[in-house]
Amino acid sequence: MKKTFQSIDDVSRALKKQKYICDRKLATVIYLAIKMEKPLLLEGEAGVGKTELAKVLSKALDRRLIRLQCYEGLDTHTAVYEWNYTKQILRIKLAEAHQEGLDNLKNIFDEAYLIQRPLLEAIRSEAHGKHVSLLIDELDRADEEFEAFLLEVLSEYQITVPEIGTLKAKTKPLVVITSNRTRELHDAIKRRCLYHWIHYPSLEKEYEIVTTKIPEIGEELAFKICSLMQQVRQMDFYKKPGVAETLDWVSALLLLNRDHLDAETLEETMGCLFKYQEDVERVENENLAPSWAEALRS
Amino acid sequence: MTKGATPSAHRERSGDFVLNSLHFARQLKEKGLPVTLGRTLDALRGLRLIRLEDKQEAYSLFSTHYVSRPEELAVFDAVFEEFWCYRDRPEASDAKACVQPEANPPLTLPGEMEPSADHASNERQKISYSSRDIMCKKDFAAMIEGESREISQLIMAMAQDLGMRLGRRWRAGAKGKQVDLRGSIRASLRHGGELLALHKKRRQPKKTRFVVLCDVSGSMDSYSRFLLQFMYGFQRHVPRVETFVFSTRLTRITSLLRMRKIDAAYALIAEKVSHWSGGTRIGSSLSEYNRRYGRRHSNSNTVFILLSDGWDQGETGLLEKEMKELKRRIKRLMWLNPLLGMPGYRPIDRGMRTALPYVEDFLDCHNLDQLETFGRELERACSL
Repeated sequence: MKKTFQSIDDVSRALKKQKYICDRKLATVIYLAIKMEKPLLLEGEAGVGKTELAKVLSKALDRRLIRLQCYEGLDTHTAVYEWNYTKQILRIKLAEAHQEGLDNLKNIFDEAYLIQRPLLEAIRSEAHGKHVSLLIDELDRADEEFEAFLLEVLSEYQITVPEIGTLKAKTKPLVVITSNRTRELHDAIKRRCLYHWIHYPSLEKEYEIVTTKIPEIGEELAFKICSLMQQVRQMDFYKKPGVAETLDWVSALLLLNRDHLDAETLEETMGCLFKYQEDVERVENENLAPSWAEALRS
Repeated sequence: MTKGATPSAHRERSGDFVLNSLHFARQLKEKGLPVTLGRTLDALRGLRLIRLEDKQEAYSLFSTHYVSRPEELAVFDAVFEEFWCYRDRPEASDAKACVQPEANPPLTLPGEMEPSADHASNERQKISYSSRDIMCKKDFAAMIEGESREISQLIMAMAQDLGMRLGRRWRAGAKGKQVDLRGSIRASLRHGGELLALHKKRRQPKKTRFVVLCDVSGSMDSYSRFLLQFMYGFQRHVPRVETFVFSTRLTRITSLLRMRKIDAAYALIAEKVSHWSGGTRIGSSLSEYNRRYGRRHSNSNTVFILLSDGWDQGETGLLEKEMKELKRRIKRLMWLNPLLGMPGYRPIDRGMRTALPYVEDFLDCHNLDQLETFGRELERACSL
C-alpha cells in the first residue's frame, strides 16, 4: 500500500518526526506535489536543507530513495542505462565454445544485460509496483542537453531503450529536483514542476531546528547561536553560512565542551561558519569576533 | 476535499474563488510573471487540495505555480497582498478578492527618456530593409524617440542570432586521443566479440563562459540604455553569462535580467542600482569584481567583455593592478568602447591608456553594425 499524507498538517508532523522542521508554506507545496503527482523543484542558497528534505521525505513515506547527482558532462549512459558489454561478450564466447546454435543464444539485448542507472531504476521500480522517490540533485550543474532529455522522463515517466522498447512507470515516483542556481534552469523544466524557494530560516525556525536536532546544546546557548547567525546573514559575506553550517558549529561547540560564546571560542570555531578565505580574513581584519561576543553578553 | 465544508457550500464558494483566481493570474501576468494557461489550470486543480480560508496555504498554491525564480517573489508578494484580503483570524474569513484599479506606471531607468519598447518577434518583420540599413549605421547617441523602439527590436534579433551561432555544436574532430571502450566493444559485438579496431573519442571542449561588465556612469548615458538592451538579449539567448554594471561601485544584475519581460527587468534594475549615471571608478569596480566574484566566475574558459568609454576618475595604479589580476584568471578580454566610432578619437586618456595593454580585442560599439562585428569577433574568440 502506498503511504501518503492525509493533510498539510500531516506533512509537517511526519517531517517533524524525522527531525525536519518545515514551515506551513513548504508543507503546503509538498502536499500539493504529492497529491498532484508533480515533481518538486527546490531552489535556495547552499545549506538550507534542499537535499535533506528529499531524504527525509522518502523516509517519512517509506520509499526507497534513488539519487542522481548531477555534474557537468553527465550523460545518458550514467543517468539512464548502459549495456553490460562484458556479460554480452562472455555470453557470445560461451555460445562459441559450446557450439550452440542461434536458437540457444538468447537475445543478448534483453533486460538481463542492462545495467540500470538511477532514472531507469526509478521508472522500473514503479513499473513493478515498488514505490520510490527520485532525487535529482543540483540539476544546474548538468548541461542544458541533459535537461532537455529529462523533459521526456518527467512528463511521460517513460524511458525508451531502442533495443527493447519503451519502459513505462505504472505509478509516478515522487521526484525532487534541487538547484543551487549557478545557472537558470530551462522554463520547460520549471513549467512541469512545483517551484519552491527555500529562504534562510527565521530566528524561530532555526532555533527549533537546532534544539530538535541537537537538544544537548541547551536552550539558552541555542538561542544565542541562532540570534548570532541571523546577524551574520545580514552582513555581506561572500558565502553566507546556511543551516548546515549552524549545525556543524553547534556540534563543534559540544565537542569542545564550550557552554558560552566568548571572543576566543568564536575565533577558534569560525572555520565551521566561513569556508572562504575572504570571509575568514574579513572576520579577522574587522575584529568581528570580539564585537559579536560583546553583543551576545548583553 | 476541503475539510469542514459541505459539498454544495464548497462548490459555491470555490466558484467565486475560481473567478477571482483568474483575475489574480491576469494581474500577475501584467506585472511580468510567467503566467500561462497551463499553470493556471494546474493552480485551479490544486484549489480543492487546500483550505481556501488559510492564507499561507493559498499563498503556497499560487506561488508554487506562478513563481519560478526568487526575483519574482517580491512582485508576487506585493500583488498577492494587494489582491486577496485575508483577515488575521484565518478561520473567520472567506478570502475575498479586493479589486484594485489598474495602476501601471511607465517604468523608466534613470538617465533615459522613455520606457523601452517590447520586442515581439513578429513585429521585427515590419522594419523594411532600407530603414534597417540606415539604422545600423546610426550612432546610438543620436537616436531620437521613435527610432529607439525599432532599434530595440533589432538589438534583440541580433542577440538571438548570436546566441544561436554560439550555441551550435562543435564540429567533430578528425581523430580523438582517448580510446572509447564503450564504442569499441559495442562495435566488436558485430564480429563476435573480437576487438578488431579501437574506437576513439574526443573530450568535449569545455564550454565558454561570459562575463559582461557595463559602465553606466554619466558619460555613458546616451549608450547605456542600448547596451543594457543588448545585455538583456545576450544573457537571454546565450548560456552561461554573468552580467554586472558599474560606475563608482559594482552591482551584479544577472538575476535581474532574467525577468521574462524587459520592462520588469528595467524596473528591478532601476530599484537596485543606485549608482546609475554616477562618476567612474573602473579600478575599484574591477577590484570589487575580482574580490567578490572572481573566484566563482573567472576561469580559463571565461571571455570577459568590458563596455566602457574608459573615462576613469580613479587611481591609475589600482586600475593597472586589477587589470593584471583579472587577466591572470581569464581566457580573453574584450573591451567595447563607443567612442571608437567618433572621428579623430584616440585612446590616450589615462584610464584607457593604462588598460589597453591587457586587452586582446579593442572594439567599437557605437552602432548596430559595430555590435554585429563584435558578435563575429566573439564567435571567433570562443572557438580559439
